[in-house]
Amino acid sequence: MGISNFPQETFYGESVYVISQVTNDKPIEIELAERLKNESWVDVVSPEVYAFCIVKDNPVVVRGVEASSFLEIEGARLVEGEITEEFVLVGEALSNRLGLRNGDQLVITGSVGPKITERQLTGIYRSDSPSNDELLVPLTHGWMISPLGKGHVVSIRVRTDDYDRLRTYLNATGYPMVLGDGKRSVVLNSNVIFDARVATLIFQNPELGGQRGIAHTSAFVQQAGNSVSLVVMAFIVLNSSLILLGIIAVLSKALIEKKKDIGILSAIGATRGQVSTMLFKDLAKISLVSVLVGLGVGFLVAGLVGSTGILLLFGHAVQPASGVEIVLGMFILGLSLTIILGLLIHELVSREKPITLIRRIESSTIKEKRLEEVLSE
Amino acid sequence: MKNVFVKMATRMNWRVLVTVIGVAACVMYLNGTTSMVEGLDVGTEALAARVNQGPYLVFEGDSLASSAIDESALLQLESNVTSCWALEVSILAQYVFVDESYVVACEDPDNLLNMDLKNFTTENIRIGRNLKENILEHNLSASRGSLITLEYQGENETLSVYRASGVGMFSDDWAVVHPTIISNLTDDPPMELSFLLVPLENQGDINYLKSQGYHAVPTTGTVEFFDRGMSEVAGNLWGIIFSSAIVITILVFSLLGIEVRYREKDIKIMSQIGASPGLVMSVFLGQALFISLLGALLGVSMGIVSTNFISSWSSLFGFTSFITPQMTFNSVVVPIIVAMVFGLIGGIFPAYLASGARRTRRVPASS
Repeated sequence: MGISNFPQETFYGESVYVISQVTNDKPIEIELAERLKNESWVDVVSPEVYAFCIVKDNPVVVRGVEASSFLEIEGARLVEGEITEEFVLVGEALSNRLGLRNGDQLVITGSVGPKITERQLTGIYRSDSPSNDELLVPLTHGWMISPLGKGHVVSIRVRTDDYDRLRTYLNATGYPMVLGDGKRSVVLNSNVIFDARVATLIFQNPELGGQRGIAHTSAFVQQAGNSVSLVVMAFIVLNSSLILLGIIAVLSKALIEKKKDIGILSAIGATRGQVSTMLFKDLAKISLVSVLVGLGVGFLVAGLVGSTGILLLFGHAVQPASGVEIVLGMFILGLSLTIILGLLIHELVSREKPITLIRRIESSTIKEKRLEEVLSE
Repeated sequence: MKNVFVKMATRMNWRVLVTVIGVAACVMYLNGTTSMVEGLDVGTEALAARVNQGPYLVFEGDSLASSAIDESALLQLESNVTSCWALEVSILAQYVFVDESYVVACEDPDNLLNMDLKNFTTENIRIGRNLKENILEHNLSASRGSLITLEYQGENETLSVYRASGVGMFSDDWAVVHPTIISNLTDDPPMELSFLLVPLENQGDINYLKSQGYHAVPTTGTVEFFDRGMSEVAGNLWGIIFSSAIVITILVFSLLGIEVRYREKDIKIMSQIGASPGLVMSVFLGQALFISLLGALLGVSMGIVSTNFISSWSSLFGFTSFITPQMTFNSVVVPIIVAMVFGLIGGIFPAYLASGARRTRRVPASS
């Protein structure tokens, strides 16, 4: 359903890297973003501040940004309104979900400390990423509702084709920071142990973090992403086993009901190979139809989920993942699973003698208690 | 007869065993995902608990300036709250226009705002940092004692800056004045209350005000953001419960369908010794319940083991997370109930067929 792509899509993108702080006492300064903007090998630089707020009774991520840089790095565009000095832009999906219109007043409260503000919406933007469910405000407003001091940012997102040069440049600053590309994070200019296991320990024992003076903010973000991925992974593994069980159950019932037919065919001289071939043809037809129907229903549901945005994850509508490889993979998997499982069940059934199959009585090879035996116990 | 019923309903064979394992897998899925989501919930709560949570902001409509709280609602509240009035005014520094912004006045008996308003006079004004910067950008003074004029619908009040280092939890581009100033600007009749600040611990008052149609939002959003975010995730669990329920129904339906075929002779014997169709049906329904219960218990055990295994051992594969699976009513009891209810539903049709089988099917003569 695209849930596992969520953290990746929220912060990263094609050739987008994220610079964040290693420790609370060494926050990322916005000046670094200004310096990066002057480098010819850097495409776009977007300094950002994040605040987790409640807007119109809904959880909403509010990003403090430089509007034009943010829209450019996200590949987003303004569909209504304008970018003013005191802009407040809402993603199109969030605007539709909360019924927000350009010019509306919004009461916005603080993120990790008490704050009360009110702003007027100045525009609506459209993006293909989860930011389509967010609210954008100027950095000055972001600083007010987030715990950060003026001039500091949570992250600087950089789009460049030259990762090595970016890393060398950041190394040369001598300032401690974390550089991530969505798959791995590299700690620069710091001997802090940036290990997710250490971060988990600190998370579970806050006093440990205090003693060491380490916040491991970036690791926590990574942890949150991992945790969501872990739950999703468990979903996928367990769901797959359920699908397998469902196919086995239905095929077993269908084949056992056909036992008599198989027995008659065997009794009049059909070999096991011939019966298997007939069964294979039948299964292929049934599988093809059922897989196509299943894929069709799946696409309808995915389309419905995508267009209505009913599957929400922390204020963001999850967009179902799609693509030729997914469709082909599901098609081949569904078809082959049904056929292989059907033939396997047939293999088990056809071990019995034709007369046993015709009379629909218990196999002589599997001894079960008769009713009389059960009652006499 | 009870003894016979129990013996028949709890009869084990390889088909029953396979189905029990199937139901167990479904319940493991339910238990596993629910306990993981609840673990995520506990993790986010732990994160949220480290946050300084402020009072609740209660207002009406979409804007604080146009919001009007009925003062009779205050009479129903059990505790002290902070009452505030807000006006959107023109702000002039040394008689030069600077900006349109909010000016707020509050009665804060319990010092919820932590602004020491008792020492605040009708001649003073406090301005936020951003407003101060705005005044300075106009090359005007914003230091203590500087004159600030507030204009509202033809009325004006000139005050001196008491403090320009912030206005507490109010927006940094707002100003705070004595309630008398708001009364002077709005003239008669007295302006209605714009918003209230209710301490977080007074949940009864917050719920009452919500029930009266007011918005009540936390002034610190993170905790509720994660709370509501988790509710969204938990809402998605219904999809999982639904899919598991369907598979359990299919499994039990398939098994009992096969069992009815295999047990035709037994059914015939039962009817010959006087068993009514209702008893035959109840035997198969009993078997459906037995299989579901056995599968559910096995599944919950497997779920507990597997989720703890995943969360404990995933770090060995470089995949760490702060989730500790939580065994709660939702993750343990609900999957068992779902399994039993849908197992029973899956068993209804085959059991019904079994109850009529003696009339419709002929039992093979041999064997």
